[in-house]
Amino acid sequence: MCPLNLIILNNLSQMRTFAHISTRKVRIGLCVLITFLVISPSFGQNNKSAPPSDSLWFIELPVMVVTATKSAIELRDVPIPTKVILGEQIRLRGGLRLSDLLSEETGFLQIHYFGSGIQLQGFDSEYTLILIDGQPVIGRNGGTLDLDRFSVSNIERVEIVQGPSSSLYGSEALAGVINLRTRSATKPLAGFASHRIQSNGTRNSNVAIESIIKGLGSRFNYDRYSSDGYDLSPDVIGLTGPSFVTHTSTARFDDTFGEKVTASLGARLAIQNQSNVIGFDQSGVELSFEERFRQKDWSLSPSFVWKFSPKHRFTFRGHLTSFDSHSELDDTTGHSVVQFNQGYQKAEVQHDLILPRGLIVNTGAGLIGEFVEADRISGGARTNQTTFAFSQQQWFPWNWLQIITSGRLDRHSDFGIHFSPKAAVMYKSAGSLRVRGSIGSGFKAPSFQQLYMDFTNAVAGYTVVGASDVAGALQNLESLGQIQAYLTDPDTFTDILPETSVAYNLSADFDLTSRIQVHISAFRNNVRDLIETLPVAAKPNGQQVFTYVNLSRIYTQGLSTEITAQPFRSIHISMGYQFLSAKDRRVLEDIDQGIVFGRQNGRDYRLSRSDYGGLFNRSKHSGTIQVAYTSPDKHTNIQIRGTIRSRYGYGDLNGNSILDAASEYVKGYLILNTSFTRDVTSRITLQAGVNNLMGYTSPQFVPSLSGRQLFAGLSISTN
Amino acid sequence: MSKSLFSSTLLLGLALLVAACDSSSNSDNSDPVVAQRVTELPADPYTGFAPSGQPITAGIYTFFSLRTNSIVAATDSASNAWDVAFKGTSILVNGGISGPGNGAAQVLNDVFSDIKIAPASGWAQDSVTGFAIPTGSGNGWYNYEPSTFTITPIPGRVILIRTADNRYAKISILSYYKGQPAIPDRTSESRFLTFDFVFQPDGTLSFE
Repeated sequence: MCPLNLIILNNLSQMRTFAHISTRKVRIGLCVLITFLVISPSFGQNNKSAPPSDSLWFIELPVMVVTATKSAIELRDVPIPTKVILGEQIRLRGGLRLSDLLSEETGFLQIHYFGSGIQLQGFDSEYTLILIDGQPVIGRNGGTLDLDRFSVSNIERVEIVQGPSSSLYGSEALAGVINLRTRSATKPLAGFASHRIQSNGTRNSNVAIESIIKGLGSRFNYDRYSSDGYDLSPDVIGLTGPSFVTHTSTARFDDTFGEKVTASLGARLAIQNQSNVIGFDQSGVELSFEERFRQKDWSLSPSFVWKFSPKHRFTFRGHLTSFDSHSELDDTTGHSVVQFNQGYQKAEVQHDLILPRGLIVNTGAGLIGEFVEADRISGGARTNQTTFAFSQQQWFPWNWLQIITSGRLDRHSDFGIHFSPKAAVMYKSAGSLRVRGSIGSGFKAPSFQQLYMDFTNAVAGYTVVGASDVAGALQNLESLGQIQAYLTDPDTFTDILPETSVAYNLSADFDLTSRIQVHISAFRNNVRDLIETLPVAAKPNGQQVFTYVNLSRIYTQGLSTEITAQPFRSIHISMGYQFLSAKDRRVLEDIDQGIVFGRQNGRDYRLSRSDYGGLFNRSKHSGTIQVAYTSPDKHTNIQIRGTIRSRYGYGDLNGNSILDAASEYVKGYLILNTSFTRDVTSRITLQAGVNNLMGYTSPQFVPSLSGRQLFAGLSISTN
Repeated sequence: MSKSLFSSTLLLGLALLVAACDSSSNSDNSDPVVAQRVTELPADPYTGFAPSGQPITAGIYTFFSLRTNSIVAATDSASNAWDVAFKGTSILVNGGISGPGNGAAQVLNDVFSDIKIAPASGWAQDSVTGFAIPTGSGNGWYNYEPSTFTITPIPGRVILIRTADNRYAKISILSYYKGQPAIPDRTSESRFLTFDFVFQPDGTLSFE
């Protein structure tokens, strides 16, 4: 026992000192993994007599998950790899927002671009679908759905499916699906309140009340999250991280009508207010602007389940949601407002047919209506419609084999019909081994901007028109004498298509010993028809007219492994590592043709494939480590959690638009978070901790990281 | 006669000076074709700010002779005295709609010093459908990075020039900013071009 303990401590202390040495730290991370792989079998034998784990850290079986198949299946038996973060883990980690929670998972890299997004399997955050209780969340800014919008206080668990799930969920589910399952009432009458103080004047308050009266369960949750912001660059006008106040109110009702019908209603209202002063130096004159930003989202999601017979079950779901953002800018010359409103309505019905002899068929269909209103949208406001149908067959031919086939048709009013198939198999050994494999297709519909934009830059004079309107817009510009020449023949324009992927996922899970569990996975995504801007016409002012077309092809591939171990009853360790490679195929072709160059000291040279660093923002190596101690009486939990990432491309500096020069990389870094949780009585819990323990900051490249954060909180429940 | 001798001596002296200063030039002084560097040539720079805060420029091209390595007065824009003209990121050649000469251009993807001979075909003149040296990010000699508002020359993009009087030259643009910062930012003063060029005065396509 002792040698292992020492090794862990050694490695931890080593990791601390390797924060700034990006290439070496990964090797250290690997060493940790290898050390574990090598010594763990014998170690497991030492503990053979130990009783099975009942720690909160281990997932208590059976955990039923719904996201992977749109039907409840036990986690260990679902053929599509699904990761679950349980509410107790969420509580003990002491994170406040969904971004805090997800960024500590292996293979989830936090990317800050118009909000906190998550990069999954090397995909930008716009390719991951976020659901609340199975229904999509809207409101993306620059493609990012800001995960800071979501408090974790009302989340019972998070289910994550990696790899495409467009065959069930349609658009956006290329990289994966993250489903936040909210809490429902479990007690006749209960209340909960908590308050937390944190560095930078950050405060979080949470109140929840639940009741079950005559079968009607109600749960109300209110969460207030605010901060004074932080300033990493005091010499620059304004704060690096602005001050904000976010209010989130949710309500959930569950009821049963007789034996056969259950109904539920989820509601959410979130409002975020943010203000900052931004400024810059213009030829020695300091210009400053006051910026106020407000965003609001609400949703209403009713659902009914009708268990018609043991074989037949019907589910009806509705989803009504709206997102709007409003920003105001005040400067010496005046006042400007930018407004964006988005609406989404969905109705769907699903039929589950449960046949003996091991076959479940899930079939569904529905309608989606979308609405957008914004200044830069052609006509000011637009709508579109999608009708869809999906079917899934879950086959259980033998105990050791499960097969899932599924497919979904989406018919969109702008780009027509799109079909997404997927097939998955799982092999179960008599022991703990599970091998899962899948081939699937994912897609992402063109965004509102890509479809409907109508924008002319008043200063530079260029024009961008959305793909839906490009033919008409060009005719209009021509009649106004605004077209000098066509760069692309307007008759050759083809309709814009969704961005699509074909993905291969293979994974294995097994218990190395009764106390060490291993997960290994490999993935490859071939993505085509990525949408980019293309100049289509020249204007008399020398500028161009751009539209959106399907152009690029990329691939992402990687390997990842996670190991969880419980060397002692009170200690739980988990470690993960991901290797990632994500590249633009067109760049590779150009390099092969010898038409891509680098420049050093004014001298140009041809690039080779090995000079190309792939897509920006991707770390080749990344990892996580979590060590937790739970006292024998279960009343005390102490944890330290780390995330580490190797260097990644920030932006092009030498003009060739691709990542090749060393100066175009951001150094890798390590973030350590700690938390201490103590249940003082069965009703009172104290929590304290330090996030970003080593205080790593990088104002230029990672302004979203605010430095060391101390926190302390108290929570009280009526029990 | 003494006057022309004086100017010849001056020219030779200048050529030697340029050759001596430029590390990329041929060390063989008998070689008439040398790489020359033009440093921070104003290309219609900003002159001030409009009341709205938008920067303003005079909107006038800077006309340039590759033969003499000097600026040509804008009043001579209707003559064959100039070969290329610069305004911001736009470059004109003395031909087509831009000038009275037979000037043309094309942009190659190659290493500047590796281009030993100009192509015989592929030449384009400025026309109503576009300039011979295409404008727009990624199309011609530069990329525009919207997040930093910066213009960066694309490595390996070599501008081949046919002058007004059918001589050939090649140009590699190195910087768009005053002070030639390695990493320009939004405070860098733009519209100042630094470039290397080789001019072949004998009318052949060879750069050697």
